[in-house]
Amino acid sequence: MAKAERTSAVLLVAGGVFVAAYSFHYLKLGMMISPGAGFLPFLCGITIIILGALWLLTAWHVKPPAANPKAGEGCETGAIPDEDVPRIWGLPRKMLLGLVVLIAYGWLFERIGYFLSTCLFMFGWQMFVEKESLLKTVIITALSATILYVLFQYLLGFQLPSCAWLP
Amino acid sequence: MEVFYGLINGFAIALTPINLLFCFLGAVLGTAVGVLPGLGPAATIALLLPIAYTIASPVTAIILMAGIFYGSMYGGSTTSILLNLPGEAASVVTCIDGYQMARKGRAGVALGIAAIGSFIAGTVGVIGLTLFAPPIAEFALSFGPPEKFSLALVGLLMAVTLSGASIIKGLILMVIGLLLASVGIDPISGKTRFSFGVIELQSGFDFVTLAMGVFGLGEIFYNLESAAKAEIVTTRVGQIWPRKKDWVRSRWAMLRGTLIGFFIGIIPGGGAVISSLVSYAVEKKVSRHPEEFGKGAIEGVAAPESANNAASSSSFIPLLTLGIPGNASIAMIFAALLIKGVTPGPFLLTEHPDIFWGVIASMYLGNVMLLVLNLPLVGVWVQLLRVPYGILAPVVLLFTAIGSYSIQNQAFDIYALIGFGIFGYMLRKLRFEPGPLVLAFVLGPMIEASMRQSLLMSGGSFLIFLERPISVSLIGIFAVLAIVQAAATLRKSPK
Repeated sequence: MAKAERTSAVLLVAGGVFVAAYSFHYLKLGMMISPGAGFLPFLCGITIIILGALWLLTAWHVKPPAANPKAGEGCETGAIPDEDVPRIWGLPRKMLLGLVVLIAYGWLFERIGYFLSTCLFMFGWQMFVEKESLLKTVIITALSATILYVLFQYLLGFQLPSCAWLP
Repeated sequence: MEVFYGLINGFAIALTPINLLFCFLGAVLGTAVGVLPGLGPAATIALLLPIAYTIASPVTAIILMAGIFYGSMYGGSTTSILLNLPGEAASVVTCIDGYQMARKGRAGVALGIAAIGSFIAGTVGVIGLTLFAPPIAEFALSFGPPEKFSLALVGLLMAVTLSGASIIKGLILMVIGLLLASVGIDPISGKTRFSFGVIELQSGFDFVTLAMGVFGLGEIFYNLESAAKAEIVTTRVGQIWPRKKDWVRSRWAMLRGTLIGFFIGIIPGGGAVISSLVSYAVEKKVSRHPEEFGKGAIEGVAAPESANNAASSSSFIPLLTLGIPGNASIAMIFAALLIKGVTPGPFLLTEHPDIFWGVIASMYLGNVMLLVLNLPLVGVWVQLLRVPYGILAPVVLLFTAIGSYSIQNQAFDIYALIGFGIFGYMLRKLRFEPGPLVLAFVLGPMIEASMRQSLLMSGGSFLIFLERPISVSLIGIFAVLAIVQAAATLRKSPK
């Protein structure tokens, strides 16, 4: 975690330099009596550089954290130990698969409409992320897509995209 | 007398069938959220923000969201006591003695005292809100741009420094929040900031997308990696009504918890989590039997549960009177008001007395509903824990994605949501507390506008913030609190 913190701190400082430079050159600072569009972002950029450097310094001396420091004494969270979580390319398998399914959902949502994309999302989630049986997957998919459709379309009155190929 | 008439008017609004229904819905949803680990009140209110667009009346929308917020404080104790698993952060400390009481076969009494303490503290908190809010709002009417700037900045800084998390990390998120708020067209110069040619970014990031991403999606991603597994210690709740001995032991604990919670709740950054921790520590210190703490002392349940409920009521004071949200959940309610075209702050009482008094009156009713919902129906709430996370997580993800899309009917918002979700996940992995990010994001436009107006007033001198009495007092109060906090941190650090 200390390494991740150090890397993040360096990236943050780089981000701060970019923000300050962009605000100074492109947005312009204006005058003190009438600050320009870049004045506040410039101040933010400089503050980020300073805070990033401070974070880097503190991360250098960080000790390995306790298993569950926020849970409170005598209070077990029941969380699975970090090393027991299945991973792909260093990232937790479930989280990575969930992210891929969600990005695909965002891409398909307007292209194939609410119903098909939601069914595909739920089917993909239950089959690949949760590894449920086919029957259970189909039941959960049909139920959740229908319930959410009724909720958003009829009860809340949202305009959901429909499939261009279907009547 | 004005307060009395205002409250009567508030009850007339809160008692309409539609507002009663939404108050009840808020209480039910809040309790459910409090019971379910891995979905806090801030995340749930964020998920429900798109609904605020469809609810016609702003008072109804805020009644719903306020109900979720204080309802979650009630529900959180159930899982803490029965499972040793806090449903939300403010109930962490209740685990310590609540779970031990459950193991000794006194789960019912622990749940009972938690609900009764919550009810008493919640009601006292609302009475305090009723009495204190109008004079504070009247005082705040005299605030000009320098005072508004100092108040918002000091409020933000207090939220960062007093939250108990890392101050550097809190400040980093605060500045990032201000930066994210500046994305889009600058209202004064008309220049586009940080849009990099993306048309959808010209109107800036939407608060709902940011909040749902960082809180909702971020929390789900994080929980996917460490899905909690817990065993219910007992399904037999037993006698709920406390015995005379329990009453005697817990009455002063409840009172102290209520007072501590009420005053800590008013301070930005204080809120329910800190107040429950402080009240537990105070109770242990003043108890005649400190050795019983951690082994099932009833005061260890009564005090923190009273404190977190009192704090949840009093944290509405800075929102309704000064327009300053003190914590992430209140920031969501702040955003819901903005969505409905209402600016929270001192003018709320004069321009929208229906919202001001309607919400306060609904909190009295909500507390009674929560007592009825929580005491006899505790067994039903425990059953909620049987909903598999494998179903709950994708449904919440769908809810956020569709909710985010529906704001402007553009797929870009789903990608922005995913981006904020990944950011929220990384924040949790790096042990950041995301509250300051959303607080700074909602206050960002006000901070920038009042800073520019103040500089215009002073001819470009930052000294204006030190020359105005209210502004300098606010800065002085923050300086004193920061010094006290720093001294306490230094005392605690190992030599």
